Amino acid sequence: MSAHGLEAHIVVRRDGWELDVTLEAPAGLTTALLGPNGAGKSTIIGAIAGLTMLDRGYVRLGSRVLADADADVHLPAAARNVGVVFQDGLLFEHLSVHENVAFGPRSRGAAKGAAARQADDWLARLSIDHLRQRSVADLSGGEAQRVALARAMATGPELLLLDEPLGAIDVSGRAVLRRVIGDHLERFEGPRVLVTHDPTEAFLLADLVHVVEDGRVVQVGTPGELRLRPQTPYVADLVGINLLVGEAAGGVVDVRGHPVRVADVAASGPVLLTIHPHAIALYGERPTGSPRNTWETTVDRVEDLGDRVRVLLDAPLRLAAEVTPGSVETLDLRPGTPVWPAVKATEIRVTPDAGT
Amino acid sequence: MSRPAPRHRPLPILVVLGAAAALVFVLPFLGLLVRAPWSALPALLTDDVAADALWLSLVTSLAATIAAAVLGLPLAWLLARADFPGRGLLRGLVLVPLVLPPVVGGTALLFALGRRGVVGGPLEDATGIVLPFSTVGVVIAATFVSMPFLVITVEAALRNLDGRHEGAAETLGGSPWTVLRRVTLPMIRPSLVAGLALTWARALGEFGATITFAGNLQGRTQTLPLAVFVALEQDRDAAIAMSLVMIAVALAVIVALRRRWWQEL
Repeated sequence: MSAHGLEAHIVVRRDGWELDVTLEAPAGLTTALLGPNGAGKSTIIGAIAGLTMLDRGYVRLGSRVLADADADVHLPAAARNVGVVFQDGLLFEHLSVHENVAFGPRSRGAAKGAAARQADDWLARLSIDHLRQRSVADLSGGEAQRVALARAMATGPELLLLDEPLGAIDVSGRAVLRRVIGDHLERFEGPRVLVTHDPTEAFLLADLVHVVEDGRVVQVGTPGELRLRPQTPYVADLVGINLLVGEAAGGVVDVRGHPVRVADVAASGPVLLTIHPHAIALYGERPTGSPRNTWETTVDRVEDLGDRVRVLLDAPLRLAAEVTPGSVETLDLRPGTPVWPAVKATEIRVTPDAGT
Repeated sequence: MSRPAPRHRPLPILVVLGAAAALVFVLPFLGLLVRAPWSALPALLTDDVAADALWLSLVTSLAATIAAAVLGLPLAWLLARADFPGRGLLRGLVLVPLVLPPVVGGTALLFALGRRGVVGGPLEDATGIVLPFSTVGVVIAATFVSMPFLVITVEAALRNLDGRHEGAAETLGGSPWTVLRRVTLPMIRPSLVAGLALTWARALGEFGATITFAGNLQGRTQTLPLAVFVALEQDRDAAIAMSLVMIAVALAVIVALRRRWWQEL
């Protein structure tokens, strides 16, 4: 199967609200749609999958037209060959785990035995063969999402859509499931589109991020580009969060050799640290007083966002800090200026990571 | 499940009237049970007339339930899912047999499907089929009065169904028929079963429309309720015996569906 990219211009109007986005999701890459709840992300998924009618625009997968409002083309969902993992799984509760996964192959005309083997194969690939005969109602959130992923993959889709796949999963299960999803996304040849409101998820899983706000795409870029150059204050808030990966032990996290003190003394092993740019204060010389993380570095870049200024710091921790235009003047912040950043341990959020 | 503590003693007047209401329900059955010729029951129910009526009632009520399912399910689906002019009016019409006196329904059927009826006349001319005063007529009368139970139960279930599961089935390649058969119907199964049980019970108990449209011919159109009515004049014990059968059926349906209505218990 040669894989094709997704190109879409999606316009959906509903009660005075309008979604109007243009998307490109190349094959072999994961494209995230990142935005707050209510931004229209799920409507985009529905329009691509064929569950929501376009008012204007088109959805194309390579040379295949899935929908074209101008030409009045609206391929039914069943004919699109698009795999969808829905937010809350949407598993069929009257069927067993195995029957859920075999549903797609059966619906696409596979004989009973062949469909059963395909389902077994996918249950094994997601390491959930032991759940085979289980009732869907008895599954944990993480198990249900694995079944949902197996169910979507078992149809052999050309395009994979994931709508908040980690949304209903508790924090402890999230890291593991994120790893599982990441692995399967990487092996999937076609375009994969991930909807999420969580920047961490988008950064860890996606190659490209479309930031969606109030029915519009406000910025497109790689996670690195978005983090370094958020183009609107909204994007800065949403994606400008600093994300570090390290090893925790006894309240200290080792981030590539640099120790970071955190409030969570119980955390151990691989962790993700998130620090809001607001939480990083900048000083001209070593700050004294309350115990906090502080180190010496230089300013890499300064970006004006209007009422606030984003200051990107150099090694050892390439963090973004947000300060007022006033302090830029006081500290004379320019590329190369030496500064002492400081972060309170309590301002650093620690979440377990599954490790690499 | 916890219940809120009663904040007041119930008013005496409410207790008295409430108890009276309960008696309205219970007394008739007590009267029947006290007079029931228990030891003669087997003989009474295998008697020629009673056996015919039992068998006919069973066949016609099941046939009416099947007819109501085959026709009522699509109608419920259309009312719940399709958008067409006159849908509100149609939904109202479906309720008419519930509130209409069955005799009036039977009369209406007679004028529509009778030998000189709007449809019945041409039908007989074309095919020789005569509906009134036939066993098929019994089924039609029972379907007329009982189908609303199926339609309103299933329509409500379809409206309350989270349609996103059906969408998920579509993305998996399910044709509309597959989605209906493997997702929609299984998901509304409890309501469907309840609707069918109510429909069957109502069909089994139908009297007015049957006697008006299909008459009272033993072995052909004389169902249990009709036989009870006739037996009251001639053989009270037989009437009681057949009544007990129908009471047993009614209780069985209510017990079978108890979870649906008595969830709070």
